[in-house]
Amino acid sequence: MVTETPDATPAGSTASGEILRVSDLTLHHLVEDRLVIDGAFMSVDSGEVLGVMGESGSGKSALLFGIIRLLLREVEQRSGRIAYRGEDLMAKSNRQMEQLRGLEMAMIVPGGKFSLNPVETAGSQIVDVLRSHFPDRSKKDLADEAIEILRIIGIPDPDIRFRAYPHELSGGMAQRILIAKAMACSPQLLLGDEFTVGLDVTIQAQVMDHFHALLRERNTSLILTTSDLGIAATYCDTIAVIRRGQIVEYAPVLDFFANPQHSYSRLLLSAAREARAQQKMDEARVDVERDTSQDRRFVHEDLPAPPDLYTLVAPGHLVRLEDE
Amino acid sequence: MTTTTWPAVRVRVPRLSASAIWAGMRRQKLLTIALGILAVMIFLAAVGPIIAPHDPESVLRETLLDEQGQPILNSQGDPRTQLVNLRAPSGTYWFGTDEKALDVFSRTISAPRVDLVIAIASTIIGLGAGSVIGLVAGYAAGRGRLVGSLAEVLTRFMDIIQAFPVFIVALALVAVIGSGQDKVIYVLSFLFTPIFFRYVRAETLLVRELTFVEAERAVGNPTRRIMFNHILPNSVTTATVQGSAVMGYAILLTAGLSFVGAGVAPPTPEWGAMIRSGVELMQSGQWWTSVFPGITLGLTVFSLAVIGESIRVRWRGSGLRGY
Amino acid sequence: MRKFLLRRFAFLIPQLFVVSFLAFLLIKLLPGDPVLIILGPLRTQEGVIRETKRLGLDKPFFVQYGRYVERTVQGDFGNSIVTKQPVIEELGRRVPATLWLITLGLVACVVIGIGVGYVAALAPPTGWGTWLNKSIIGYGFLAGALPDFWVGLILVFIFFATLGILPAPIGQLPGYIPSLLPDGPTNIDLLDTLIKGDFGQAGTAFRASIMPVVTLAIVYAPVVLKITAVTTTEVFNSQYVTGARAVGVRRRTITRYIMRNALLPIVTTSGVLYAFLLGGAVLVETVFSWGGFGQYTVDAVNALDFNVIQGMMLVAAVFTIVVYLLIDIIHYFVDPRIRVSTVGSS
Repeated sequence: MVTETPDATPAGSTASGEILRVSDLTLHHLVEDRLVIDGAFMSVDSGEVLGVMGESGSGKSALLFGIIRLLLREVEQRSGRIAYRGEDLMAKSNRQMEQLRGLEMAMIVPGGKFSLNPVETAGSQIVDVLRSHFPDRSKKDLADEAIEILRIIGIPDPDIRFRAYPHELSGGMAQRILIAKAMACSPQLLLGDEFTVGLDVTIQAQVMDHFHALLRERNTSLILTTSDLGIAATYCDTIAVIRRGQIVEYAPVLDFFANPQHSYSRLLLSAAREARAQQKMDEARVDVERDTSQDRRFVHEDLPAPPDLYTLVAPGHLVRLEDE
Repeated sequence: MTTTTWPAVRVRVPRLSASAIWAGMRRQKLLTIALGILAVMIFLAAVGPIIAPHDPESVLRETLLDEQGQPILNSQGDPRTQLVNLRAPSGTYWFGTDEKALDVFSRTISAPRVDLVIAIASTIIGLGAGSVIGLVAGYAAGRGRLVGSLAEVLTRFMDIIQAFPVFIVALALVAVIGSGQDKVIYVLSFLFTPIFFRYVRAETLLVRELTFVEAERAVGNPTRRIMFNHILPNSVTTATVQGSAVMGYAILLTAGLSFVGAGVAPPTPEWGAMIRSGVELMQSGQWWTSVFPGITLGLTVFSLAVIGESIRVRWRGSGLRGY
Repeated sequence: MRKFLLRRFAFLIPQLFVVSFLAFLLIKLLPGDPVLIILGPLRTQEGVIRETKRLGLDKPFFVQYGRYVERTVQGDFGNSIVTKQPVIEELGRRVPATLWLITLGLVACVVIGIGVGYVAALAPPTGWGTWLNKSIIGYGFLAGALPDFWVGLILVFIFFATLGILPAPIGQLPGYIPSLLPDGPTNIDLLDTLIKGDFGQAGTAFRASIMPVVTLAIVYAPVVLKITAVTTTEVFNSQYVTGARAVGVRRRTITRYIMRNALLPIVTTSGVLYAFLLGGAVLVETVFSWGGFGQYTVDAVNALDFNVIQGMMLVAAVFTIVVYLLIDIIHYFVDPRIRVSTVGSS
């Protein structure tokens, strides 16, 4: 059933190397007694943006928290291997993970000002991140660097924002601060959890464009959960669709939008397109109109998926077998 | 074909378990026990003095014999009287007898008629008064120049009453109007009025802005009718939810007043006064006169607190916020 | 910037006025003519008239209130009818002992409450964590249901009557007649004996304060404990703490985030408890013959000693007002949301 797919090794591809490899990740919720994540796998290269799509409650966020190993206390990990640059994260102690978070991988949380400590200034919260990893550097030094980070993130008047309390910030500004916190120590892998939800469309585009450019510039990888088709189509290189904790489809972005294979993926796409059509949304960000000139292609030939559950329909394009 | 919901905004707050335990504790089991205790206390309030094995207010008649086989009389002159009067718990006197030869068990089960009645009456009066004043103050707030400022003064006044420590005010008021069951009811009603006032006023401020109130006004219903028939039923619930907890508080205050001799005086059976009668005895080791009324009181207040908490939880959907 | 604090302080003046008015009004409502109470049964007609004039009771109501405010501002609370001593002096001797007791009690409640509450909030959801949280809930209900004076009596029965390891509940310094003690600078026996350097007496005073303080802790620590457990849990689960952990903020800083945010509700609750304890201490003092403000109050009420009742109402209300003021000031310094914004918003 597979129609034309891009070449297995497209011209733009760079072998920049795998940064994260997750296999057979299973998370069990003790209180609700259900699998939040069931046998998830992924492979992320340097500079790749992986979009995890699914409806709310599908386990998108849990997947990110599982990778960064910040599980809710009632969630236990049943199985799984998480390798970051070849290092086994499961073998690391809590202390080692604390060091790794922020420095190597960090998460951008949603919620704007509600995700910032309300009683401390935005600047001091960025300084807190820096100081956690560079305890020996002087306060003044860290403050200067924090202001510089704010500037890089695209925050106007960074020294004023530095002294602002979260309640004094707009939603978009607060969300930029959250991005600044995650990027403060220049980690190589970012996990973004629907962090543009709730922002208005123009602000969202501004934030995402600037952020995306920064990622490219620094060759930073991102795993982004989203339920926004536009965002997935515009910024992601690879798409994973997740339903009830299971990855049902995993594919390069163009391939996915051209040839969704799993019935659930098709359902998602058609529902979203229908909603867009109804809202008569005629922005530039329609999924098919992606400017691919800057794209690097990421095609994962050796995804760690169990072969008895998944079929390879095209290079790097896996579909979970359907039960029904 | 099924439709897929594609929610635009979703607040994602990770929920951890301690909160789940706090909110979702096994209230059902506890609630059943609490309701059982309360039912027993209400039953005792109705028939306690009747089913009591001994008269709760008059001394025991039978005489005891001393070492020589001579009868010891219940007379004030005899130094042995107090020792004779005090009898440890036994088959005849389940909770023992106190220093006046009164049966502690009979008095303990007769006390709900005093304590529970004070609690229920003062809570209901306080709720009634607080609701009406709160309704008026809430409805009038920010209205006309005179009415609005009167409402403001009333609210400030209620705030300042609450600035006095409750027990001290209770003591002072009892000093003014005298002690006894009815007086304690008045005093507690007065003290509870501001509590209910606050809830009803706050709710009224919200309810009066709702469209249906505007609609009632538009069709020309008189103000009094709107206030009492439409706003009051909607604004009184949060206050009513507090009722059970306030009742428990009333019992504690009553017992406290009686304990310092300012509430209900002996020989009327009242838990606080009974505990007081055992103060010196606890130092010399005769524990029963104070311990049994205290436990019974504690169980009653405990059950009211548990019931109050589960009503609150059911009402708001989450509980144990604050105390 | 300081506007909030100024306004808050300005609000004290009407508060104090109304409080003094209520205290005055209450005494006006007292049954019986104070002149008759003062003069006793052996009085003459002229004596009554003279005393009425002297007290200004023949003047109109508001003139009397004006005189009362004037006297009170100058620190003249009148004389006690029973002891004939100036009320302000007696309050000065007794209030410190009560403040000492309830302060120790509050400190115990706060230390236990915050300590156990914090552990409970961060405990694992299985095993001992569940057990701890359930016990705290049950204990909270139970402690809230028990009268403090009864708990004090139980302690007396166990530790004095049965085990004999703590002194009898007969005052701050059992075994010494209060009137034989020299007036110390603080009017708190434990501190006075320490200042005097008499460590034997100080030891006795210390042992005598164990039971009353433990009583307050047993009954009121759950108040702080509950609010600590609930708010710490809430803050720990909050988006901002999760967010900070997810970007690798170190543990020490996370703890600071939790503490600073959970602090406000805990401070408020502790302050309300402190004000409440002044009333609650009346009963606990009675059990332990503490000789403080509480017992003084009870005696005054039973003797209809109106000047004393008036004085103690004022002291109690002023104490409450001051405590609430302190709560607001702490909020002001901890919570930037109260402060007027100094930074332009985006």
